Amino acid sequence: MPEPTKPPSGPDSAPVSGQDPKATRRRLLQGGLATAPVLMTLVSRPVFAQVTCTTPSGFVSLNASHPGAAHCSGNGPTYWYGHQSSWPNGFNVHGDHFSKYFDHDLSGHPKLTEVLDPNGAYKNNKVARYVVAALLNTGVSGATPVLSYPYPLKHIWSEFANSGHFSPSAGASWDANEIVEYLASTMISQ
Amino acid sequence: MSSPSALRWRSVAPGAIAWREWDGEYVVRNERSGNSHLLGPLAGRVLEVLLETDRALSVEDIVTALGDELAPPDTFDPHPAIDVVLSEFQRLGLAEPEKR
Amino acid sequence: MIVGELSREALTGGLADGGLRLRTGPVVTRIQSRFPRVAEGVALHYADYTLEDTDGFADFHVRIAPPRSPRRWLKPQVYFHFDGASPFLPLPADQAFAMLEWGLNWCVSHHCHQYLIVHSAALEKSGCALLVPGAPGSGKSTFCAGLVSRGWRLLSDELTLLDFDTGQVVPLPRPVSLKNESIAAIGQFAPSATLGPPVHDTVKGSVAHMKPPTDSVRRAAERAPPRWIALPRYERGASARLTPLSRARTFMHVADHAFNYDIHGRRGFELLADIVSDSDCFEFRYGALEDAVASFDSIAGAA
Repeated sequence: MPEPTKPPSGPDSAPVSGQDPKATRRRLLQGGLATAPVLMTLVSRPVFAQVTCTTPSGFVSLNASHPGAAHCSGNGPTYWYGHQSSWPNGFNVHGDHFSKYFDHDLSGHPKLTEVLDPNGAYKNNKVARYVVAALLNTGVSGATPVLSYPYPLKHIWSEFANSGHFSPSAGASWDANEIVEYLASTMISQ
Repeated sequence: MSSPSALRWRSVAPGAIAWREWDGEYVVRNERSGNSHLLGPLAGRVLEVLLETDRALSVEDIVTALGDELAPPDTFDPHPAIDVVLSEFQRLGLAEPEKR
Repeated sequence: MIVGELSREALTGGLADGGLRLRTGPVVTRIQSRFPRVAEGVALHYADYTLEDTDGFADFHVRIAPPRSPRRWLKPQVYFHFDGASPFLPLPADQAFAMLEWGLNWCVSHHCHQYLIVHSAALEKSGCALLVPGAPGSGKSTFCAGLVSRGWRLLSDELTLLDFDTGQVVPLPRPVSLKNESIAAIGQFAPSATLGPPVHDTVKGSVAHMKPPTDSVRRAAERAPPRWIALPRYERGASARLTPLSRARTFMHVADHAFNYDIHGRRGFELLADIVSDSDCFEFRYGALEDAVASFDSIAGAA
């Protein structure tokens, strides 16, 4: 869908007619000195909302910090390795490499199946195994609707591969275990 | 740590900041953090000043840029308030001091 | 064809077999269920709604079904299935229709990302939309049901869809959900409104639904530009008071209640900012629905 044309960021308030705009601003600035500079912050949270299975009415009774019920019917890496005939459309079980979907390839230029293999060369690379599982879940309609590709899955891997951490919001930082814990919470199998 | 006054400041990635102002209050979205903020008049004007220029600005530069929007200097000193604004901006990822 | 034109047998049979494809605003949902309460709820609340062809496209496929275990006979429960998966824990079977309603809300709020989706009621008068974004317990749904029963068109009870290209509200009229004291309050305020049977002991207390007016359903294709944003607060015995709220604070409130604000990034920011710019923004305290109706009729009359 094309980006709608919108005016760039900027002031919206028209000056009060007949008044010098600078005088209006001066009054505003002086009034503003008495208050804290940042009055309110909305923390970004769509993906990182609480991800646990819940009842649909729980989703409806929202409070400000949990805008959506989680979905928990994705499958885990061992499941996808063992059910290769059930991979969703769009994924080539035999041909797709990890690097097709993620920047920062793993050494050995593996295929997705090799990464998922619970007994394979990557069995200890939990973050890689879980992002691949999460990637396959994006192909299953409704399985993990808030965990999409490329956003944020591709970014989770990139940031982790670069720095060993992923920052879901300013000031927060997840290590490998926390990333895996989050991804696993969207899955009902291992 | 140096006080904000001694440093020169830049807004973070101007292309990542979207803002609107109504009646002296500002809403700002920082694409880097994904967070949105409600700013008071002074903080909003400081952010605007930082966004308007490519170069890093000191507190004194900011005071100069705001000019006669601030009350005359013999009635009050805006430096401490601007220091607080810049510290908050740094904490929230809206601005950062220039690395030396 | 509309639901009301089906015989009860055809309705029940359709739901039990291949499902019925129900259109609600821009969304078509294939609904399957053998629960009598679902058939009753659909017959009552969705009588005016269009049914799409049985072979046609559906945005969502949902099924309200019992568990596949012997437990189904001990303590009847109901599951909500979406595209074959069960995202939620089950509920007692008597909540089957409520489960459908909550589940349909979940489908929209988690998938309709072509719109900016706000947790808000939306109503139309004089060609303009009133948005009522709200925390639970704010009296949003009671307020909404009150205005709807006094001539305001229902655009949405729970989920307001905003179009990126035009900034307009895309109607999604659905039954208005009422809780606890609101059920009796609306029953008294609007005796001719059609209310379904209440279910008790839900997570939210007692819940009942109000059938939307036929006019609201028939005009679901008519979009409306936002013009007013009101944050209601019900206070027993309080006199009506409308207080202007700054646009910046209103923006923060609406963004906080937008399900997919973060997904849309800057685009969502600019859309909400434009809408707030074009709207009069209020906090509204009221103790009696008559006052609420009078206040907003007056505002709409001046539009």
